[in-house]
Amino acid sequence: MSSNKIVLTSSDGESFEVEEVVARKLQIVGHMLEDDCVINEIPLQNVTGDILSMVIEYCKTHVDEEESEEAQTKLKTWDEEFMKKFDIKTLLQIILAANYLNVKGLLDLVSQTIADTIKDYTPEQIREVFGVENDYTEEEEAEVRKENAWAFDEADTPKP
Amino acid sequence: MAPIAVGDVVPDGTISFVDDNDQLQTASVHSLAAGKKVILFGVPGAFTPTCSMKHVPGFIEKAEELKSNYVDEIICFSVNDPFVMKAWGKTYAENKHVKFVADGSGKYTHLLGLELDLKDKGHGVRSKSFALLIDNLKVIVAKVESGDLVERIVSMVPLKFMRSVRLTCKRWNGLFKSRSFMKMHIDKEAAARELGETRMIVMMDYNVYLMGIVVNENTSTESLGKLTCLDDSEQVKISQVFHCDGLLLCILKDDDTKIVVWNPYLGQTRWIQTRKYYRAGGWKGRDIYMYALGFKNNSKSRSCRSPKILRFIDDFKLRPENPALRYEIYDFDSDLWTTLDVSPHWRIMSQRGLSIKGNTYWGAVERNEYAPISHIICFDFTRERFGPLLPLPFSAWGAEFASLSSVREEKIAALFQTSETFKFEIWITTKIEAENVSWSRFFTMDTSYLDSKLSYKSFFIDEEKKVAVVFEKEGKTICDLTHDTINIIGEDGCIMKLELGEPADKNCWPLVCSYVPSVVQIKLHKGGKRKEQSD
Repeated sequence: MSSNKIVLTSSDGESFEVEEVVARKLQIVGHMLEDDCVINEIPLQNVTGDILSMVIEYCKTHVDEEESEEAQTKLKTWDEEFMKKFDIKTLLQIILAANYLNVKGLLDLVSQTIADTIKDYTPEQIREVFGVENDYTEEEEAEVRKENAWAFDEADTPKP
Repeated sequence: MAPIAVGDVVPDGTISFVDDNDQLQTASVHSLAAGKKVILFGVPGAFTPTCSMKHVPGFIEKAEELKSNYVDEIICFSVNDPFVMKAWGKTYAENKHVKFVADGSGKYTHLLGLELDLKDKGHGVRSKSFALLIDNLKVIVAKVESGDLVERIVSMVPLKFMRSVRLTCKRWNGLFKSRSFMKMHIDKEAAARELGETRMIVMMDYNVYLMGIVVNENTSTESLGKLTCLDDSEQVKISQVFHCDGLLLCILKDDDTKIVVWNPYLGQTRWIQTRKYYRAGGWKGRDIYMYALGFKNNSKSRSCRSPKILRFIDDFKLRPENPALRYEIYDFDSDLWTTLDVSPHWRIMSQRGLSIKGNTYWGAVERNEYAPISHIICFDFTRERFGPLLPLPFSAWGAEFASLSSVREEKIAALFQTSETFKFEIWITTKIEAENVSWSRFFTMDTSYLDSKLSYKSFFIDEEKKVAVVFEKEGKTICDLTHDTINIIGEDGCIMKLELGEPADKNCWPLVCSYVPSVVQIKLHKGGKRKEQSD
């Protein structure tokens, strides 16, 4: 059973042949397979080939998640390296894909990576990346700034 | 309800719509969708710009294609009333296939687990934007608006970087106040605490620091940050800081016309103007107030509790025949100071109070007695009055020999050092209420190693490791204390000493108080600057 091959097809017509265990990491596929439909080829309409290949790479690496600490550390390192490959635009595409394909581990990983990336952004940069419009009036913006006037600044450390 | 997901059977429930003859109809979702392939898509509100311009037209455009190929029914769904939905549907003249139905009460949305709380924006609980493809009642595709993803990402941004996020747009700012968001952050914080690090607020040289202290063989302190004004115009000097339930009350060194309450975790500050007090006799100097921060304890939810500030002057000790006596309390809800009528039968001896569980405690003596400190007294913020004198398990001559600290925000630890032998005792409360206290001994340490008393102790204890971490000043002689230090003291003596350095101002004593992050929101004043209050 586990040696079954499944073909996943992206919205732009690229096909990927993967082991069934890998395909099942995509919960959306898992549910389809459980529906007893004998499918060998699954079209995935909301994801393009280049992004789907990244998702598959993640799923292949995470296909058997061992409990041992060593294996976990290794995976973690791999995750970090994997995430370094992408710019913010790609990360946003991957998160949409991970959400649609329902790959929980990847979703968490990408969310955290995006969060760590945008933490140093200015509001303008965040708006640009996420396509959000500034709907504050000047007064409202000043209000939020005032409320947020103080912070513990890490850079400025005391003597000890 | 967990949000509906692929593979689930859609719940049954009632929706309503207005038919072509303007008759109000209701139908069960199962009766509409059984045996069919149905697209059910929901939006937060009819006529709302985003939903009207983006979500709905897409479906209307594609409806023809969808219907001819695959789908039997396309339903647009919203928590609105059915008449609104019908009117909205009519605005799409080209629409032939999309049905506009209503979930007026939001009950069905709740069953789907797709509610969207828009109360902050003046709406009620609506539905998220979503689309479900349902095949004979089973969900095959579920798309819930990526707003979820935004919330997910935002909740992973460390809180101290929240400023940019909150300034992005109103919706993102709103996320910051949502309950699920708070919960996510608090859970994370709790996980970090499991690792054995104690969070402390430390004041040195009029600066306030957040420090993590890990007490073990290699005790170390790690600075997690220094209080900084983000608007770089002016940095402040803090002369006193008080902690209660995640909020810090900061007293400015050079300005007594205002004080600040800050929730560093949420990055919220609220500036409070103080009242000017004209003393009889034409006293012109700066009044030195005692401050305390507490909570009224009657509301159910911790995060909605409203803080209060007590401040007072009572110089009975200096001028017993005609003391200046002024007690006032500030209420965050009304934004007003109120004078309290207090006739003290006690004298507060501690330089600073300790707040736990919303009330504040000080070391105290009977008002007219020349006696060692052998009591504590509580200000009950719920009833806005002082309680009776409660016993301490020791008597200490002078405040420098007795100090209080909190143990996990639940108990009080009292440290006592005899002035003759420097023997050192620490006690912990087994019960602490405004009118009732009992104590048990934590440890006693013979001070064979100590050649002097510890000066001006500010401390906390680690109950499990049975040590006290004492902040003090040291120097070559008792009259020339130059260095701020930390002593970690166990039953067998001083385990370790850490130098904190030499403050620029020798008069500023190092101070430590416990700190537990909390999501207590500080309500902000509505509207513009309020009038200066005088009485």
